[in-house]
Amino acid sequence: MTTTLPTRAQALELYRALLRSARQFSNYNFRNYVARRATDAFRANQTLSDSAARAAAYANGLAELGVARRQGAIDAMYRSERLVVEKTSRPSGYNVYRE
Amino acid sequence: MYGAGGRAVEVGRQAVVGARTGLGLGVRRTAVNMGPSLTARSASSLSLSTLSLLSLPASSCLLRVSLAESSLSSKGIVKEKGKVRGMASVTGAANEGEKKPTRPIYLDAQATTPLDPRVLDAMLPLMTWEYGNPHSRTHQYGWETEAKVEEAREHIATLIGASDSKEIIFTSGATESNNTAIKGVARFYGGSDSTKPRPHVITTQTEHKCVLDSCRVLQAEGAADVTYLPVGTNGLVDLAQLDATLAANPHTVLVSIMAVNNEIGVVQPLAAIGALCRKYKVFFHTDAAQAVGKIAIDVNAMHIDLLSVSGHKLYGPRGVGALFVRRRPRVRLEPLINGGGQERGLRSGTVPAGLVVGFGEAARVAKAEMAYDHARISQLSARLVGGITARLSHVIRNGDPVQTYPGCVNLSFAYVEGESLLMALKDIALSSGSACTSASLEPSYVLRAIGADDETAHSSIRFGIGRFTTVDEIDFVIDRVVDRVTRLREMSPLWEMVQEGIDLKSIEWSQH
Repeated sequence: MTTTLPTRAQALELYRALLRSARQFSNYNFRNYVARRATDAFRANQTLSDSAARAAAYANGLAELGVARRQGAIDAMYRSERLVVEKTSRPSGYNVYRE
Repeated sequence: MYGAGGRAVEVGRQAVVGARTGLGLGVRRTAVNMGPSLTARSASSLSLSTLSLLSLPASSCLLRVSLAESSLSSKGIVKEKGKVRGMASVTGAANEGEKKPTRPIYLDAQATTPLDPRVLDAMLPLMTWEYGNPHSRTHQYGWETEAKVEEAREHIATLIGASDSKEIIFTSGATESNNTAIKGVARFYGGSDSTKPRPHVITTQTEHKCVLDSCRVLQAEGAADVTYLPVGTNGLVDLAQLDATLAANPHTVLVSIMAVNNEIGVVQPLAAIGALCRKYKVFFHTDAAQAVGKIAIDVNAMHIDLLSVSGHKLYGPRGVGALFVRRRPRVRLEPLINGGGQERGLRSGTVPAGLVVGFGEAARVAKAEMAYDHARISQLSARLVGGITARLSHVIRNGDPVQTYPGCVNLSFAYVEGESLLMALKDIALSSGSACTSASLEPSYVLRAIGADDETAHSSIRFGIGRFTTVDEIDFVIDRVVDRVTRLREMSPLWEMVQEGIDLKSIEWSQH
């Protein structure tokens, strides 16, 4: 576990990487969840002032990124039919900010 | 050319299926797919090979199939290409212009939940290279697996507030946990000693089938007396009645009341029940399969002595569960499964390390995400109920609207038959109750127990919202449900009468 305090640029880079990793998922629900969870977590942690808590949140985000990258790759290998609510033509260009 | 060849191979395969099952099915199906002009020829050549296949050993099957294929392709299937296409569109097979098949959206989170990607990530090493037996004490493979299993046990203990991870026993699921708890306690404290009075068990009428059935078995064996408490119209147990039952039965050893009902989602007052059980010095077992990871549970604060958990209801793998067995004051029980003495001797058999580690990770994630998930699921639940009731009248919500888990919404649509509504909603994976009762046409015993009449019980649908449900899915469900219920009601003569202001209860139906 790293306890280093992230710079603003590092935090933003992590956020962007999480959103990118979300787009890998072929499963509609997972794809949306990973992006939504990242957005909500970054929004909630925006006002964190305690440096230990900020470092912990950053470390947690890095761990989640590792999981999302690995599982996104696996998920992309085992595709299912599209869900009835899926409108867009699969991952690329999906607007993660919609929800 | 290539396409036709592919078709011929398929015909050959179908013939094999038909031959193996010993039915002429493969041949008949071919006839449908291939069109009339082909039927006679292919049927005769195939039935020949089908007949001979039946009496031949497996090794020569292969040879025969390839013969069948070649004979078909040589008999000019290629020429029939246009016909094959044409027939396919008539029989509804996939064609170029048609829409791609889609999957229904999942809204049955009480039946089971999808595996969280974080859980699969934790499980994969154990499914690939970390395959040691956690009970092996002589090598690294065993040690590393054991360490992971113990870590998982710790996560589950933390999630339910247990003070010691040794109080967690891994089982195959909540059904086994419930069986072990109820039969185990009753048998241990009654036992074969005929001088002891027969133990008494208290449960409710709305419990899961596995709790009710375990109690029935105890009664049939003569091992225990059982009281099935009724519940109020809101689905909650009456504490005064429980108190009176406990006072009237001094030989009570166990009270088993579920935390969250799987059909109507009501949350029982666990802390109050626990306090009552402590007062009468009776063990309190709760089936918390639908509750753990979704609402806050603390076995110490709620005085719970035994608690059943299921892995696959909290985004973990199917096939694993746990039973919390309190150590102080000690709960003793007779194991259902005897053997190598794993899991404190209460559940012998090698612990399925991969499943257990997934379960542990699911518990860790559930603890970390509980507030977030609960807030979001409440929001989606309110949106669903609000969206449906704003556009449809005569919708009844079953179960207490306040003391409830928002992820389980049970609605009755009056004057619509539940099963036909489910059929009309084939783009949504829903059920009319628990998975076991939805197969039969009997109305749910849970809805009966809360005093719902037959019509209401028959017209109920359970919506199970989970961690991965999206706003789009909820909006889709609202639109579909409103549309289909309206259409079904328009067809219903009962609905027409209701619109005309006739009270259906006042009608005397003629007997046939």
